[in-house]
Amino acid sequence: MGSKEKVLSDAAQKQKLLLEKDYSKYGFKDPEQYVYRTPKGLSAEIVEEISKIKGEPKWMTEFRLKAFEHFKSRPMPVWGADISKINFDDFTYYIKPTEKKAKTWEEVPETIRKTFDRLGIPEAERKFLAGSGAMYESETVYHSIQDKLTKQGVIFTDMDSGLREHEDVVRKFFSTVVPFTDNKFAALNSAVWSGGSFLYVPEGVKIELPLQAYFRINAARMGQFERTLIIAEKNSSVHYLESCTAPVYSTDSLHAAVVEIIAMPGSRIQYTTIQNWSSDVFNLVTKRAFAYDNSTVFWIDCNIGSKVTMKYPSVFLLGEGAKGEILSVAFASRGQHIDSGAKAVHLAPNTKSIITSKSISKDGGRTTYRGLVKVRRGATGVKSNVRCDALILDEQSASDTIPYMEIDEKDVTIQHEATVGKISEEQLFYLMSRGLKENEAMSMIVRGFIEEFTKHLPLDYAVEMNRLIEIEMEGSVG
Amino acid sequence: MVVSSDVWLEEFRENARKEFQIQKFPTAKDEEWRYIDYKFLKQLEQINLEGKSEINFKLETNSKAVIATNINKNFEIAKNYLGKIISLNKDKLISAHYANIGDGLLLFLPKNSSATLKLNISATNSAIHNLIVLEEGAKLNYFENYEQGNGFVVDATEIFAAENSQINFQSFQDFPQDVYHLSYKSAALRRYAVCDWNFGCFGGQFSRWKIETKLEGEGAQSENIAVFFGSGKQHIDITTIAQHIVPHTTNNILAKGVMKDSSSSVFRGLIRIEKPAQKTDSYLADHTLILNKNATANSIPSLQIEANDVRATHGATIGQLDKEQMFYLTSRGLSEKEAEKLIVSGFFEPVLQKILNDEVRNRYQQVIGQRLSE
Repeated sequence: MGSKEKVLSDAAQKQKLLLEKDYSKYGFKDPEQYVYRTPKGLSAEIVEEISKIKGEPKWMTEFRLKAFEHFKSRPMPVWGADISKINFDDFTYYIKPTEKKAKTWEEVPETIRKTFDRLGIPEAERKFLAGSGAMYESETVYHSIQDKLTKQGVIFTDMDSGLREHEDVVRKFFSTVVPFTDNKFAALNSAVWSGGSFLYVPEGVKIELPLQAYFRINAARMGQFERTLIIAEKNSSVHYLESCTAPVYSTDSLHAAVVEIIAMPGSRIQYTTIQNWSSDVFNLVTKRAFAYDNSTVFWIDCNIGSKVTMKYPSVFLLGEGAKGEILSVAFASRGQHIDSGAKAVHLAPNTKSIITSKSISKDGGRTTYRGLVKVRRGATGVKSNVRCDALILDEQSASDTIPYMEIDEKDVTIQHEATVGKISEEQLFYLMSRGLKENEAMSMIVRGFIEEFTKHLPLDYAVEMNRLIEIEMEGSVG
Repeated sequence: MVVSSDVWLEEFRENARKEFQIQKFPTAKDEEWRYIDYKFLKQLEQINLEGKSEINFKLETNSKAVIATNINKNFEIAKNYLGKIISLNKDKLISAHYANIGDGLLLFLPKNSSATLKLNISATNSAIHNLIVLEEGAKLNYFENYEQGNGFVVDATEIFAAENSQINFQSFQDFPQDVYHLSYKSAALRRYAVCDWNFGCFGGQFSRWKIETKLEGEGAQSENIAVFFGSGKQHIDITTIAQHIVPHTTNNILAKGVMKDSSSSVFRGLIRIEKPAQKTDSYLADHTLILNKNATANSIPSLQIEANDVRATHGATIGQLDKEQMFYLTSRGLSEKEAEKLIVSGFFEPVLQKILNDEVRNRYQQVIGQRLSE
């Protein structure tokens, strides 16, 4: 027994070191030097102030104020992860890091550029991206896109510039997919949103390489509320990638984004998220897509970080033949509750949805899959397949699966399957008998478990993802 | 129904009445009631559940010490068990039940005895409470029948299964289509106890079962098979919960149902594995066939897993009659109706095969056949 305890404490020690090592990549902090920040807390005045600083049209100011009223009147959700400790007066809702958005990395102020350098963003952009944006605190500090795409009429910019430069398009689609009445955090985002991406792909344009946005929170007790709107016109296609990180503070931060996607007939949108917030961020995000005739929306949603995540990417299948696919990966470690999932709402005939969820919990973490498949009467020929697998790596950890199926139509095929368990001892034994150490074997099995996910990522991301899993898995053998 | 004037009982009912006043009627915001038009429940404010009820039973046993009686007649034993598994403050509806509790069966099987009991219940606006107590090693084969009824029927059954006891619990409900039926069934299983449930859910305008199995002793096992059929405007609502509290317990839930006309169903399954309950093996499956355009099926098969060395799986399907099978059969000269009947009976066959009692199985087949022809 004594030696086992020693091994355990060694493992804990090693893990601690590794965690520290991990933070040396993502957890560094910049000094808080800002051009402008609103006072802590939230009021109608602050909402108006944010709108004024941005020089927004009157309709947007009014929209923000209406959303703020709704936010105030809306009770906190009582289901899902525990978010009762959020104190809305404790956050700073708007921080402007720079005077203007840069078009080249050289124009980005040095401290912030260094941040993104350390995160490897400019390098990734050179290597395999068609365009990228970087958001720091409340504002997008950098945005660029390949010239040839601009010539084809692709718009990829931050949401604030989108509103200034393409007001008619924004006004037509903004908040049509996620109204501010949708939930408390969508209302909050609608009131204080800042930054995020505006992406418009014209008819027939197929963007081969992914476009990326990187979100970084640096300040403590910061609220980041980016707002993203993606419109893919007929027969176009695009892959949008987002990543997020933040340093660790002892106080909580809040990230409440709203993402709206419109996939016009025949288009294809892939939206990939790698969420690696630090373990003190409340991540409460509303993501929804409208999919019209024969379009495809593919959400890949990977949640490794945050203290609490509540996020259920949705596809409303509005046009005949539309397809929605959602791949959700959750990795919850010490002190984390990742309550994620997917929704497919079938409102048109011959629509299809595939939901795959893979979750892993360890060191006292908790994963929850929460999902919905809904078929409205008249949506005939619907096919939906849901598969949820959960791995629980130790005795302290837990996992829930809560799938809803609401079917009002007979001409449908709906399937759901779920399994929860630990790593198979047979697989472990096999690998260890081939000479792998126990933690290597476990990490290999976990990587295999989420391979379905990594294979959809661009190579560099897949490698990074595997590395992250390895870091998370180090020292996990007790 | 005049009930015993037992002071204890009066106090118990008074407590439940107080609880009924405190508790609130469910609303659409209550997770359990989100799919249901719950407004009819308000009638419980006016209706008292002290209506007419009649219970008849037939007992066969190898032991003279087996007690089977109306709970009114033996409150000395009943009071040791009443409300111990299904607590009276669980919700407003169960407190309405306890506030009016009167009729019901008390069945007590002493150590190593065995018995077969058949129970027939007819009820009008009644609260029926059955208590089943199995001492160590006792074996029970239990059949209950709810076929005659009127108004609101709220019934509850509490099963206490001591070490190594075995119970085969078969419940058949085919109430007239104007009855509101709320049924609470709960069993607590000690070491190596086995409880096999089997529900035939066919009747009533609104019928709701809440079936809970608490696996409290190592080696306890439970299986639950539910067969349901909704037609007309019926609403069928089944919740089945397996709660694994200790290591080495096994559970298997299988529900199969057909929804016809404009009927609707809600199936909620939950496997809950508590932290100490390592080495649990638990399975949950539900399959619903929708026969008509206006029928609705909702399914929420959930897992809550706190332990890691377990196997917990679930599967669910909702769909229509297989078009290929229909085509095959109709091309062989069967009418659509006949083909439908054949496929539906094929759908139910694997679950019905698990019902060992011929009489019960035939009864299910008969009701299903009849409902399909209507």
